[in-house]
Amino acid sequence: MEVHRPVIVMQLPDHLNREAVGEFLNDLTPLLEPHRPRIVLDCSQVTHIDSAGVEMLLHCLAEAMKRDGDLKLAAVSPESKIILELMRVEGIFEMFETAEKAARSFDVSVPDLAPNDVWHAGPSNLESLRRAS
Amino acid sequence: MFGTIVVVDGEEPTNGGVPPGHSLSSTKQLTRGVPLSCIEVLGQTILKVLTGDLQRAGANPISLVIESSAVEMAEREVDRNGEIRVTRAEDVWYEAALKAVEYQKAGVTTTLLMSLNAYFELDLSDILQSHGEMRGRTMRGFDSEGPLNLWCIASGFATPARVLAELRMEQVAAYEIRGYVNRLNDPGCLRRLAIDVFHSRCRLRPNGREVQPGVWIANGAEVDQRASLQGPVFIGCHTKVAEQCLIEQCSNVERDCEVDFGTTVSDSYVMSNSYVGMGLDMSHSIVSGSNVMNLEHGVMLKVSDPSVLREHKVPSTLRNRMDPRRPRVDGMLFSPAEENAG
Repeated sequence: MEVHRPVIVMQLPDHLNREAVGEFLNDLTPLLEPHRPRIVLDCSQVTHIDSAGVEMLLHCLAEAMKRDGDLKLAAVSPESKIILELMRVEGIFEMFETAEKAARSFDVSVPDLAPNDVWHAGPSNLESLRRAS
Repeated sequence: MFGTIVVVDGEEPTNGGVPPGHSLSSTKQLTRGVPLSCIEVLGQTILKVLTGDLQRAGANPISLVIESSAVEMAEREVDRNGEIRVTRAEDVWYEAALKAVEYQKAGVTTTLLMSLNAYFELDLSDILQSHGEMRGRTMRGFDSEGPLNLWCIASGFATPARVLAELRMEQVAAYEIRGYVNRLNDPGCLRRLAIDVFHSRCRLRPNGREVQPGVWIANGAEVDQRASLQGPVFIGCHTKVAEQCLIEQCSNVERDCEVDFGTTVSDSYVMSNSYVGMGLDMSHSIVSGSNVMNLEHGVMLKVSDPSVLREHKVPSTLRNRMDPRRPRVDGMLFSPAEENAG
């Protein structure tokens, strides 16, 4: 029987650059380790993104897909979208207007996700998310 | 005898302000504060093209009145030969009116006064003939979108104030410009001008050698033989296009730029002194140093990552080593080309 895993929504930092990538990866990597991870990265706060940030997104997507999961982006600003286009990766990611829409897209056959199916990863509940994963 | 006064970067003398739908800050970010008429497009500036046209038509004297710190740039741009006088002034329109009075005192019978906030292709003999038929009335140029900052005035104005009052008059004789007009409201208009040139919608031609149909290369440009140029495109002076790059869809990469390995530049305008990094897809955009304006999304942004976009300075030592008479294109050497194809 297949275990129905929750969709994990994580907020990306406002500056997604070389300095911020390490810390963010420390938080995200454990969530990518289980089988079929379902991750949404909420980009609504992102104001700056550089090539290290884009590489980090690609790395995370590759890790998720290796485990038969997926990683989707939500609330990508037009500025960030241009950077992704410029670096030829915008077609690689599935992008959604909101984190909620991105979360719903993981299972289109389920019209309404139960509250427990979406986990918002913040500093306070990261530990519980890791345990749940 | 007819003289010309060219106001390089002044706003409208009547009501001023920024044209609708035009962001001054994003324009300044892209242009680095340089007037649009002093920015190269297809290897030449509007200023150089228009002053060249005026000289060829026999305008004498020609005065440039400039508000900004672009005076040195303007002086470099124009072929002065003692015929073109460049003046910096805080109130450019007052200075222009002052010059008009001076012209009259020196015996100039007709003065063409224009602002370079538009690029227009004029039939000067037709303008002068029409003005003659108006028997000395002030005549203003119009196109299908309305009035342009182009006047033809006769002698008879004793003071600059009288000249300015005449320019502000709403009831003036209209002269319809039937040639090409591009209102230079923002950098997107320079991009549109390049596309119009590529499609032969105006008289202007790229300032370079047409090495294949629709592919123009300026002197000193270096295009790797494994790069692909799909015309119409323009590659400016001393610009380097690395291997596996693709330049296509009416793109113009201006002087002293570098497009690095594997990058595609499509439907874009790369302004002078810009570095475009490796493996990028630059489409529907205007690039100036680290700034990029995406015309499709209408978004302007500054890229903080210098490996992606940055200002590109060609070291003077390297420039000196490049022989401008021998541009390298696709591994072949070309003989000296005429700088100005216009």
